[in-house]
Amino acid sequence: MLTVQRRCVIGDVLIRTDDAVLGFETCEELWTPFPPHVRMGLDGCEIFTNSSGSHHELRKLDQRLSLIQKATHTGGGVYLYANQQGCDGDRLYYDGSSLIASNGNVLAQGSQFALSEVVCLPHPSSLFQFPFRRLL
Amino acid sequence: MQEVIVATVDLQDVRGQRASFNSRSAQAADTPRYHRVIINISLSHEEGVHGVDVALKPTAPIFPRYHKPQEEIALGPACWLWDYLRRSRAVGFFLPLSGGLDSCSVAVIVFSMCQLVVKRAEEGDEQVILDARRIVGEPPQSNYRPTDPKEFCGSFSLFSYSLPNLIFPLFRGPYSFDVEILILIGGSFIRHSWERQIQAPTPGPEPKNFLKPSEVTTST
Repeated sequence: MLTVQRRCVIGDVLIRTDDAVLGFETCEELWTPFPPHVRMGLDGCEIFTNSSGSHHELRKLDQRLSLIQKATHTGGGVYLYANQQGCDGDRLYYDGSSLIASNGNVLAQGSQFALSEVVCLPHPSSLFQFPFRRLL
Repeated sequence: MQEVIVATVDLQDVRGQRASFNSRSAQAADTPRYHRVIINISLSHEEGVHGVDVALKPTAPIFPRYHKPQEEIALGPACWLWDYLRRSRAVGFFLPLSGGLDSCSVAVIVFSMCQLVVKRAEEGDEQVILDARRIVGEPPQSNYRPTDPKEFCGSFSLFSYSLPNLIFPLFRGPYSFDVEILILIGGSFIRHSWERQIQAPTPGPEPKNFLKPSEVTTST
């Protein structure tokens, strides 16, 4: 047995680590009228992840980016967006563009069209070097 | 070859923004609680927890990059074609060239794919090079690398048939050939519709409207 854990919770949860609270929404949940990150963010979640399978449509990236920026602009937070890239055997092309956003700003953006096989590993590091919390 | 994007963030910026936003706090007080799973690990940079790493700074915001619509059209379907070709383990495309706008567009997208393959091979992507070798019929241990999009385009099995004067010089490879469609198929129904196309009173766009290879955008 890898761990001594014998029971687990099933359903939507937030993960509380020593230094951050993580929440997870999936793919199209971002596009819903009341996306989970809203309630998670109000409940103290600081880092949101989204594992997505979003396919290419002409000029769609703009909508996707505005949703992600809005998600972290109004309520604060860090958004880690990972998206498939390539053809998955059907007629769709998944156009990557994985990105990291924080408080409404885009910090890093992956390629949208590439031939390479892609693994995206967004790795957030937080800095606890400021002695006082900076208020706006 | 993998693509990794990395950013350094300061979670205190998140907490600071929230703590100074009173209307948000009022909503937060009324929000149902999620179940918390507590894990005793630290996500932050170790130096940041146990000491002060003065060199570590939050990543500065960037302007998001958007391709032009023309680039999206040239690059998206080209990447799709490459994945389909290599993962189906096919040896090439059969591209019927009628001389109309549709088949011309497909031809340009195939050439865009060839440009991407050459660029990626020059950047040393071993997977792309291996896939290219298989597609042109070279063994994996061969020294073959696609270096010229035109050469590469003509070296995998791209069969084309075309009407006289509507031949794409781009696809003049060892495997391309011109053939009378009437001889190839010979069916009366096909023959009838083909003849109707030939004799159509309003011909399609002239070949001079086609994009030259140099006009296909490849910036990524």
